Amino acid sequence: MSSSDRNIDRKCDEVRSKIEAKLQASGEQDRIRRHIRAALNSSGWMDEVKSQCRDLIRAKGVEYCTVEEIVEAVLPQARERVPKELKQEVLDLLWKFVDTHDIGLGDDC
Amino acid sequence: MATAYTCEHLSTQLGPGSPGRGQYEMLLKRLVYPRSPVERVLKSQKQKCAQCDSTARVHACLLCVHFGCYGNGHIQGHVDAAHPAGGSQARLSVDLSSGQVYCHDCSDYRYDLSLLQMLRQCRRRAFKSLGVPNFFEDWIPSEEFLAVLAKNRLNLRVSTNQLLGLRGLVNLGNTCFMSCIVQALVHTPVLRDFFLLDPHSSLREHPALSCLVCEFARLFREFYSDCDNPFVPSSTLHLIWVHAHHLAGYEQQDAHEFLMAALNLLHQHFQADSGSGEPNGCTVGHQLQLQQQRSPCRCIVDQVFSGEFQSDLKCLGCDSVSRTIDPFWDISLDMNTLTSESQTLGCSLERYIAPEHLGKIRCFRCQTVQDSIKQLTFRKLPVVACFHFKRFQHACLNHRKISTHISFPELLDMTPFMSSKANHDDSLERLGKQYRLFCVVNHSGSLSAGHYTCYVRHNCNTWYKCDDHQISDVPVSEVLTSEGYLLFYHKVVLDYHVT
Repeated sequence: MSSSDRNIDRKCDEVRSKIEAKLQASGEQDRIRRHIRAALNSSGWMDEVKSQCRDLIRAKGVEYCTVEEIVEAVLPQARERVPKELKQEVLDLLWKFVDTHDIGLGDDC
Repeated sequence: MATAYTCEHLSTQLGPGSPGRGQYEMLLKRLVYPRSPVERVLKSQKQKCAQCDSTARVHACLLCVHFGCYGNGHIQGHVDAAHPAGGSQARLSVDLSSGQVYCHDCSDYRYDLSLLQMLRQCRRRAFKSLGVPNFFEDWIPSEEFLAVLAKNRLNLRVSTNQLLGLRGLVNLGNTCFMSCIVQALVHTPVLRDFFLLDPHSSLREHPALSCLVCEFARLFREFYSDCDNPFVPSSTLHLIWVHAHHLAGYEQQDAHEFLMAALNLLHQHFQADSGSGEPNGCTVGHQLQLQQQRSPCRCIVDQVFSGEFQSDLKCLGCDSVSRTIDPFWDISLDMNTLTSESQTLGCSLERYIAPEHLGKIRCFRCQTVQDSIKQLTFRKLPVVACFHFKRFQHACLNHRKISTHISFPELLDMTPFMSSKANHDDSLERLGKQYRLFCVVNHSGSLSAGHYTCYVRHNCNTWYKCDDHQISDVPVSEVLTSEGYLLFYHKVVLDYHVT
């Protein structure tokens, strides 16, 4: 990897942590998470994933399941099932946040 | 408590009253669900893996002050290194994004009901301080509730051809008029669902003695209990007597009047409900007169029975139309006294909405006295439509009953009688106006010596005849060829409430 690639990576991480910190500090992160949770619930995603988890647990037996195993088995499909509109909505919310808040990123971003 | 999702490490270390629990609670309030802007800033600073700076799923160690991420194994690594297994204390860490506890001995997240409740409370407070509505929370039954369930173990198995919900009513002396209406109301599907859910708690002083809603809830419970011997509705009768004096006494009363009085009382007694409390200008006292003055409220009676008439008065001089909209709980139809032939519900409805010449009336618009036409149409349809045929004529000394047979359908389409003729081709629109018969109240005999019986539709398809305490199953043809005094129809398709 060239040094300029490394620089870009480093800058990306910096930007990301600054945005995350600001999201958390302002409470926006909680608001967005709440929005995501509500949308996933109303679209039926929650119920679908729950029933998938339930089937898995029933098949394996509740004594023998760990959260890690369940997550590993269910995550790929669950990710697929997230409505595209929601992803776009969240992206839009994040862009709006970045545009309206001073993240302290400097001019070269 | 099931042991599949908790562990002894959790229950000992974070048991009620333990220092571990206090610590966990503090962590919840400060770092998982901060409530103030200052605390939120603190969280943004602390929530970082000590090893790799990752902010994804950072755990806080419960044995020391250390933050490590889960994904790269850093918290696991820390706990194994700094707090090796075999020590006296349980090795637990808390996920800062969700508040869940990870047990490093079991290598899995572990849960506890009381911890979950604590978590939910912190989350509620945090969201409240942000001004954001809370996450949807699954209902967790309280200890109290579980105890009640454990004590009452009777399970009623519900199947499609069962008789649950059918019960006779003992005649207390010419009370067949009441029995029929009670049967009709108990078999009204939406009412049944409402009363069995029992969301009403009366604010009146002695609800059992003074609140008709509570009494009806009790009636529904009696009908749906395991008992199949006839029920004695003495307390219902007493309540009605106390609140509707014109129905008191042991003479035969009019079933339709009883229905209106009962609905009115239910509607009034709802005002005393701690839950709904919707003011609508109703005062306790005047019974039937109030029906015309009230505005629709959110009580179950209005939600189920309330519809709207549109009355258009057209001046033939200036063509202006003055419109009034009136609510109704039932539809009273005149009998056609000019013919003794069999009549139909459809014809009666057609006559009902037919324009009527009113003779000379002063018009508000053109200020002249002109001929005018009045027309009544249905503007908004109720969930349950009750048709009442005015069979009892009380004209001076001539009291008589019109016993002409009326034929009525099992399925009724109200589309032709609506005010708005728009959207008649829209099949979805038409669907909202289809009704299905579920109860027929009949009066047999004469005005002075008569008896009320009713037919009710039970379990979607089977019809039963209710003659006080005697219940017998009958073919639908018998229902449709009966005389017909009160007809109860319900909408085939229920819409969501449109605000």
